[in-house]
Amino acid sequence: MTPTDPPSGSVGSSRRSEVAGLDSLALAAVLAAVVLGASMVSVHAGLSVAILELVGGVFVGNALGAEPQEWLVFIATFAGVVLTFLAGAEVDVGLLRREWKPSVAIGLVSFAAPFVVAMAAAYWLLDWSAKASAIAGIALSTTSLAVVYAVLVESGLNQARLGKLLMSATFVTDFATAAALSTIFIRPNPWFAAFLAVSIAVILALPKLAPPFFRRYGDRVIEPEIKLVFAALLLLMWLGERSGGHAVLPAFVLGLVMARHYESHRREQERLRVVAFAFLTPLFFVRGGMAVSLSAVWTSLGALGVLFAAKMLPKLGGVYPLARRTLRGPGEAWFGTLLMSTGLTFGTISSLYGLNAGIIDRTQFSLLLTVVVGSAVIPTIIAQRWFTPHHAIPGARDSLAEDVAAEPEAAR
Amino acid sequence: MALDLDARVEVLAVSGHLPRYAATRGEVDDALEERDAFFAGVLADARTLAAERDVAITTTFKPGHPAEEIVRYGQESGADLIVLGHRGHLLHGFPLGSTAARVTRHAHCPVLVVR
Repeated sequence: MTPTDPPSGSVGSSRRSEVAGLDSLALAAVLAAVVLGASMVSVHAGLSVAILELVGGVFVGNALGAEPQEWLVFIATFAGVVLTFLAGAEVDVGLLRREWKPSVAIGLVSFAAPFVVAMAAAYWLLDWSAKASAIAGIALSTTSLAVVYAVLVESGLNQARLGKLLMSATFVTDFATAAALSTIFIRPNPWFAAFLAVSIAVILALPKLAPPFFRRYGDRVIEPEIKLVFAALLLLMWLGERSGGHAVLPAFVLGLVMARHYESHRREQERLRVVAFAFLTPLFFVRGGMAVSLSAVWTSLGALGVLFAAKMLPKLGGVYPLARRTLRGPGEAWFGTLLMSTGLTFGTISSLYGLNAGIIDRTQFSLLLTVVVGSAVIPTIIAQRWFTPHHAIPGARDSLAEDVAAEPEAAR
Repeated sequence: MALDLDARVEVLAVSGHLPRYAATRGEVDDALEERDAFFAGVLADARTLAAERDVAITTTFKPGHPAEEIVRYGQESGADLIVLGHRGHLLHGFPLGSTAARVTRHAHCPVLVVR
């Protein structure tokens, strides 16, 4: 496969959008309509809004011929880092501490096996460059915490040992993915020292600074606490870019160290989510969809199959033997293995990083994103349809009925 | 009917799917909170109605596929009759919605569908 298309988001692509008749405001208006439609459909269809935003982006990019413009590329890049911070902040630190020993092996193998195999397949079978192959390895090594969490909560398995183990293993995989994306492309230069020093300083300082800062300035409509987080993330992004790397690891760890704070300050986390979900993450996923070339995917179905196999086979082959040692009930090991094979957000973040940095071209990005989305859907359907371990599901959630009974009559 | 038959009534609420293939845990948590609030209200209404009519009921909430969970719960609890409503079907010619149709097809006991 020979890369031919220039990286999207370049000045050239911006000009093409204008040629296609979509100036910045027209593109913004079209995208606003697409993300609004995606939100409405997601409510009715029970599908994640992210998947629908990606599909909307594919429509805008392919049917309307619109290209991402520089403003969109910038917002989407920032949104990717905010998503990473939120992913870190959503880690259940207590659960991770309790379950890390049995889950660390599953989590690390879940990362390492597809990372190595996908990288090797891209390099030797698809003739991608070494850096593009590394992007493929990272993007296809991920496990989607949100997809796993939704399946577990929906079935009630999040209360079972199986669910706790899988959530904990997913945290480990996410951490390894973030570490790989942040470190592999770093160029040793003076900026790297600054990036490292500032990352450590911010990670150590923010959890200590947050409580007094939020007490003094928080809970206002002008949202100083969100601005503080955004300022920290933008600083990390700038230094990360100067050192040739990516701020995804410090952003994830920053979220992780802030998780305890957000556990006891849910409203702050809610407001951050509102800003992220209303404006930032829709543009991230739409931008990702816009960069997908359906014709490139259609003409590269063989490569698509290779990449999909390079993600799924090592996930299944690597995780299943370990899962069998810990998850011994009928179907539990397969259920866990299939869920560990899902991917979405970090896969999209990694692929978009590669595209924006010019490491992969549009065809390669299209293939990676298609595999990432396919890996969110296919293993989930198989796991839920054929391998849900009903025996491990704790009893009905009587707590809800108890909550209702305990609720004062006036509040009902 | 429950009073006439001196029957034990178990009210089961089954949620549908949470957002599938979510990108963030926050999206799932948000849907979960909305779902729990909705079903808490539904079960509270059922308790109020039952109390007004002097009928003793137990309430249960289950996440999962509605038809599957209703059929399974009916079997496990040894129900003599399953009573459920239905939302109808968008297409003409289908008298029942998919949940009611599946429950009537797979339940181990008689099913009463209330229009």
